[in-house]
Amino acid sequence: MPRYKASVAQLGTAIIPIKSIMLELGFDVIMPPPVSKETLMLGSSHTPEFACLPLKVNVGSYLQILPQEPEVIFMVGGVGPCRFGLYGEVQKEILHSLGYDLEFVVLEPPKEHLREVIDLFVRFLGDGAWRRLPQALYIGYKKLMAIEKIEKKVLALAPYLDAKWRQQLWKEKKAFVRKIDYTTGAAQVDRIVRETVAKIGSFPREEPEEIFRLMITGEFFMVLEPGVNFHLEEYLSLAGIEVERTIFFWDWFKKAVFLSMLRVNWQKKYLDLARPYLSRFVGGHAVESVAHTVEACHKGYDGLIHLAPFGCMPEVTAMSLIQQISREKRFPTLSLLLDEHTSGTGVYTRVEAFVDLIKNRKLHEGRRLQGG
Amino acid sequence: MRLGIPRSLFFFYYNPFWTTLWRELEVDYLISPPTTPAILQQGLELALDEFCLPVKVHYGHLAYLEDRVDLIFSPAFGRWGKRGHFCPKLKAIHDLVKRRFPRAVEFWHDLDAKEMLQPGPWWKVVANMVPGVKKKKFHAAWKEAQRQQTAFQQLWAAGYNPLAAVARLDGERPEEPEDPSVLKIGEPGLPSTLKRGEPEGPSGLKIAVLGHPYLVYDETLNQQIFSLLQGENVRIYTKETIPPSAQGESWPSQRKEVFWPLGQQLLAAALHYSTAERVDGIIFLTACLCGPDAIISELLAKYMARLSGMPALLNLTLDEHTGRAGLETRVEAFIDLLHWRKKNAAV
Repeated sequence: MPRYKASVAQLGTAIIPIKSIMLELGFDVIMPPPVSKETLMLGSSHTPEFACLPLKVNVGSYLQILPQEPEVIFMVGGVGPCRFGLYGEVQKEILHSLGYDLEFVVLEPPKEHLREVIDLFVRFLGDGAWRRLPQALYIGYKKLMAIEKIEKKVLALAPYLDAKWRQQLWKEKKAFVRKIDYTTGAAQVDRIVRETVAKIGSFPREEPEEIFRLMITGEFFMVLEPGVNFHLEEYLSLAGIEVERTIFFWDWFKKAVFLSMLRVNWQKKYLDLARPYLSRFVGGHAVESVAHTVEACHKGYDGLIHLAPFGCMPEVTAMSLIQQISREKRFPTLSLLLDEHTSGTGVYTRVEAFVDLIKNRKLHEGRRLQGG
Repeated sequence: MRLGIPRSLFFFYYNPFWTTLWRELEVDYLISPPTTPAILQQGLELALDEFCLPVKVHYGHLAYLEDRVDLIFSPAFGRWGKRGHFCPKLKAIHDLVKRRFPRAVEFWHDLDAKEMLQPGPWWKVVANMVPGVKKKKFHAAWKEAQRQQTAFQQLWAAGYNPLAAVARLDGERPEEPEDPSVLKIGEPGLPSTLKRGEPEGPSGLKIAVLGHPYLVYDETLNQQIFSLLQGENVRIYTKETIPPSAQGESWPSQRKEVFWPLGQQLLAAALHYSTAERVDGIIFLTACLCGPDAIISELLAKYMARLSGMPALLNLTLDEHTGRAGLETRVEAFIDLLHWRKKNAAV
């Protein structure tokens, strides 16, 4: 059985477990390089002007790895109404027009496509691959859980460290991700997690006078991929803000795949929260974004940052409603619509101003309460 | 009680259904006029900058109606057929406007597998809205509205585009002075008088103008592109008038059906006008920031580029800044190109 050269679309650190699964299954994996200016430039010059940023990043990444001659590219798909469901079709046509006929395997909700998925599996990996599947999924799962566990810990710990140790914390986190990426055994994953937890646990903590809590929500890819959101999470965390990220890959995967297959109505929780503003599922993560805004407001967060690609249909809808919530409940929100023209300086200026605003607001209100 | 109906979004497709239903229910209604610069301006002020042009215009129409009526008919659009969806913004459109326009009442359009509307949810709304209305009367009105809508859509297949079809239906009901603006919009300049199969103009050019109905049939948004083309003696074709058998077709290299049915229909219409009933050029109208259009126009260009002997394609993106002069220049250049192409092909 020949080994096929396979690649996947970008997705922040969630790509590491996916890479592991593919390696275990017997592919030669070509990893897309980190999202850079070049990725965005390549992508945006070959995609429609008003396409959303994830498509531009995808196409840019594929063009970057073409010299390594990938034979098949895996990606997830959708059935509408969000444009993401047509990425596979558009990418195929764009790359064809540039002279490349790449095979895209689009994994869609398997209700109707199970047979096709099995056929593909056998075609690329041979019959024996079935035996490797449980081990591959297990190591992928282990790595994903490990990464998300440490990511949550880092975000929760940052506000209790001083600026120097926060730098150290993020250095440690990046080293951890690299170690997880290189390792192959499940036991090693556990060991690396233990070591990292012990290490960051030993950092000297201090009790800050005030903790500022920000929620980050929005479109899946924009929240998960630091390469397109200008490492916003890291930026805020280094500034000593307690960041709550609402999107984690495993959490989404559990809901979108397992709970949906079991026909559990996991969306109900979000719809109930969002209902006064948005009464139906409209595609993408719009309902979740609106629901999280309401939740952040109820739970006493100091503000919310909403990330979306410029022109994203569900998130622009959500943005309009988030602004409404912000006005009605006097709750600070900042929507950042990002595309290939967005500059880091511009984003940081806006975020900095927003952080100043929520800090002043909280301190001011605190004084007002104390003074009666 | 007076009800306001916005002449925006899918008004151009559901006009007979909506108006007949309210007429039969004996509810007085007012349709907002064809988009004016003032309506567009109001829409721009009220809507989020990041919305697409048609949604902004919709805000403008609602604002026009706000002070003139007691309640506003606010359509929202969900599923279309078994697998199709309208776009997310149109699904959420009532939720987006309801705070700003408290008089708006939502009417949810969910088309079942046969692409038909279900009366049940509408009855609940109507029963609350119209005092003393009987269910029997509602169902009779519903039936009549559906009959009118079917007649309307049958005219499409006979070669009438939606504007011409409405004018024709209204012509059959001369006692209805209800809405003179509908007739006015069908005056020379618009293709209401043009039926498929009529003799060609002397210049002999055929152009298909494809796009969402709220661009193709809104003269303010498309800068009267129809009269511009007719001034150049061009015969115009639109998406609605393709034969029903051509509607399910897809392009040879297309592997996945587009899940916005209107998008799929536009691709099918482009295929029909590229092959079975070949035209010289296709003008694809897209709205600035329209999500589906960005994808569909790209797919269309790529599908066409794979084949030889295709008509020329002009992709026109319309937004609130589109000026008549700029549009005219591009369309004229396109027409020159088509003439040149035709002459050189003949040699």
